[in-house]
Amino acid sequence: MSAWLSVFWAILAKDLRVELRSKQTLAMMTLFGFVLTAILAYGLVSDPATNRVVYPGALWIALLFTGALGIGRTFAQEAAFDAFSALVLSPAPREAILLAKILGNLLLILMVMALVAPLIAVMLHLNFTGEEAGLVALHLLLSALGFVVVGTPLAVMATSARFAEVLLPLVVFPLVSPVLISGVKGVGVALGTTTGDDPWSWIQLTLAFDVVYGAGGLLLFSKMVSE
Amino acid sequence: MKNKLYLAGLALLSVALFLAHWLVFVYVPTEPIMGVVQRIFYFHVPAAWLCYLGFIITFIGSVGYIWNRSPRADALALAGADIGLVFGWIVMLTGPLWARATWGVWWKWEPRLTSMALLVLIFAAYWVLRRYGGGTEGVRRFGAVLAIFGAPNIAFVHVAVKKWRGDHPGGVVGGGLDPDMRLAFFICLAVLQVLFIYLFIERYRVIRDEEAIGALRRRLSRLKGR
Amino acid sequence: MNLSLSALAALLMVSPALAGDLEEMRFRHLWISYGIIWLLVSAFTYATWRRAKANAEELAHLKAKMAELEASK
Repeated sequence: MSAWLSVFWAILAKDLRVELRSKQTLAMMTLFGFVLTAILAYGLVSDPATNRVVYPGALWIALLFTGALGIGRTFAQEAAFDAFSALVLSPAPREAILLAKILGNLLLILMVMALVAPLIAVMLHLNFTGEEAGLVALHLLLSALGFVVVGTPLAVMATSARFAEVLLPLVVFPLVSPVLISGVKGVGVALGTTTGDDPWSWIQLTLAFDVVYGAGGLLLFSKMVSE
Repeated sequence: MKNKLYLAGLALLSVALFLAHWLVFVYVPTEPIMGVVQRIFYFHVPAAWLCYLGFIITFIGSVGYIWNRSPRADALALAGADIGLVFGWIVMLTGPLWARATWGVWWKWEPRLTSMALLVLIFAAYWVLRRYGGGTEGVRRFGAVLAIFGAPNIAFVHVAVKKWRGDHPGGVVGGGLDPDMRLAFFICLAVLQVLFIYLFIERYRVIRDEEAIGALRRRLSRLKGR
Repeated sequence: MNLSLSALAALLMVSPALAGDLEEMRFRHLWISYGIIWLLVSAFTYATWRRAKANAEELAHLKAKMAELEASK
């Protein structure tokens, strides 16, 4: 167990240290988030009531696209130094590798969305109460978790495919559509724009997705990357 | 002898297909509310089932491939996805044509339609991956993982859309089917099932043959290299 | 391929203007549906048959080559 944890920490700390030093992925994702914010804002801006209706959709589009950029670079570091096979061949428990990568991706996406989500709200002239903002944040957190839990193992698999950068979003977006529906509708309920009285039941659905795919990915991962 | 039997089978299948069309266009009574457009259903509903069947085969083949890397399981998965997609596109194209003449819209965000659309999208991605991703072992594994991840997804989409559109009536076909209609429906289902099995076997053989060709080519170039 | 799909999508968008009598539309959609079914099934059957034929030829060719190579040794 302690070996497991030390592998997990070593990979996570290595990735975060490299990222914080060079900031390459974070910088690209953030800038991409800004561009998306601008496009979404001038594509959708309208009267205050409509802005409130379209906000969750805009937010989840930004999440999916910046997220796709992020998971596409999960193993960029390893690929650049041809270290991926070394990592897989090492006796390190593979679940620990996957979990570290998932957490690294989640942190990256959350850092970007923590900037993009308020920015889109500002551009659409929206005002939220504290409770509304909290529910939006919770939904975003759980949806982002669902996204990385599906996207990270598939990003590992995609390293061996041609056109991986195109194929990965093509494969991941349909798979995370339950998260998209549940997040958009749940936030809509929280903001009072979608019919339904209970934003928490949508949170439960996203959570169930996170658990099923998280556990499934971890269980299958050693089979996915053997030798 | 074997060839003759094969041809006889094909002829029988053609006759059965003709019979199915005769049933759909001549034999069955016209549904009083929806009119003639209801006749789409004799092929649409079996196609939906066959689409599911193809993807179930892909799922089973993918689980098998992840487990023991058997090329047979992989060929099974690929053939299932190919055929499932053909029937999936049939469902996705004929469904809206029926809906437009019955509901007045091409599309409704209803659990069954939405989960079907997502299923077709996921397996279309699978198809693109297998077709253009390169034929390496890693890509096969990628496809297998995708197919395995896709299966529980359908349940999630179903639940999500049901929650979102909780008020929508469940059935679209209607329970009390006229006996003639039911007979025609089951005959069409049986005929299309046979067509599916035939196409599946052919497709599976093609995929296996292509693998054999690849192996032979590699062996030849090795022999020449020596 | 893409062009014909775009044309189809455009047709779907403007079709409220095209839709006349309901009974006529029901017939039209029925024919189109079975046309699509036939098109897809026969295209798939043909593609599979063509690949099977090409494979049979290629296999025979490769096997002959193999036999030739073995004989020359």
